[in-house]
Amino acid sequence: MFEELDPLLHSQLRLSVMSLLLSVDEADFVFLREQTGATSGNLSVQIEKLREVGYIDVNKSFRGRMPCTQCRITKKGISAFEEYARVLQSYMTAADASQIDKKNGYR
Amino acid sequence: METNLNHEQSLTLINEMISRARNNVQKERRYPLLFWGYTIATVAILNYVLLYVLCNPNLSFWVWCLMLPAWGLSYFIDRKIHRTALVKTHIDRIGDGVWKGYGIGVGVFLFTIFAAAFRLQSPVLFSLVTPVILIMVGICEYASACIYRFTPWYRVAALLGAGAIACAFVPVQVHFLILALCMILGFVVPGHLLNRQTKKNHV
Repeated sequence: MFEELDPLLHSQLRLSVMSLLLSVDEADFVFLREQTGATSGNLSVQIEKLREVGYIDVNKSFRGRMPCTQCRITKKGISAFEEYARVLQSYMTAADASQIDKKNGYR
Repeated sequence: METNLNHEQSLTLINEMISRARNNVQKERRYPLLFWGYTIATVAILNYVLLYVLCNPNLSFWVWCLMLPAWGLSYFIDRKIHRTALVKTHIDRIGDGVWKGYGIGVGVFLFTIFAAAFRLQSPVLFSLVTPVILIMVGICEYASACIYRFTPWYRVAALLGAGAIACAFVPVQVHFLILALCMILGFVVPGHLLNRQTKKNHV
């Protein structure tokens, strides 16, 4: 049987945020919003969900008078992402095998 | 609002986001390229002109003291960019480390050359300064090209190497023109290319 994909990561916006954070040390909220094309409200909600489960660290501060939110992926987040990628890979392998079976006339 | 994905969409999304983060890293590199490219080229040309204008050509070399305030200015610009950067990456840290290492290396090299030249009373050693610095910059450009996977920097590294070799066949005065040319072709041109690429991506 197939393992279940982590429901927290298996959502477009949360997966986008985690993929971006995986490639950098630290990213500003504005950067994440620009790259994902999400609205501020939606992004805030999804970031909070990721923070609650400990996948990311969120550091809020001020840059001059402007509020500034910096996000960083945690070790737990990296492990969860790696596990997600592994399960995803097993789905892909199974899908490929099924395609080959179909081609060869096996059901 | 949440959108659920199939496994192929998930993989496409992961790849796209990782590539977007990588592209953003390259864009930030244009400021030091432009700053140091213009500064060094200007000072080198100024040195070349002063060699022929001043009664005592040896005084022309003091123009390189302008690099000290330039370094200070660059330090403040870098700090500002770093503080206001929307994204910080481990690749940036490695890249910065390479160029900091270069700065220290140049300092040690210049001290060694000056000390040796005065001890041996041999100004011939000064003819090594430009080619060795070009080789050192070339090594750093090559390392940057590997780190950022930005192909034009491989060509820049080759150009700097060629510039260093050319220094062996021309009088010392011409070294300054070679240095200026290398800075324009190796720093200023790629800096403006990155600039244009960034503006195009933002349209």
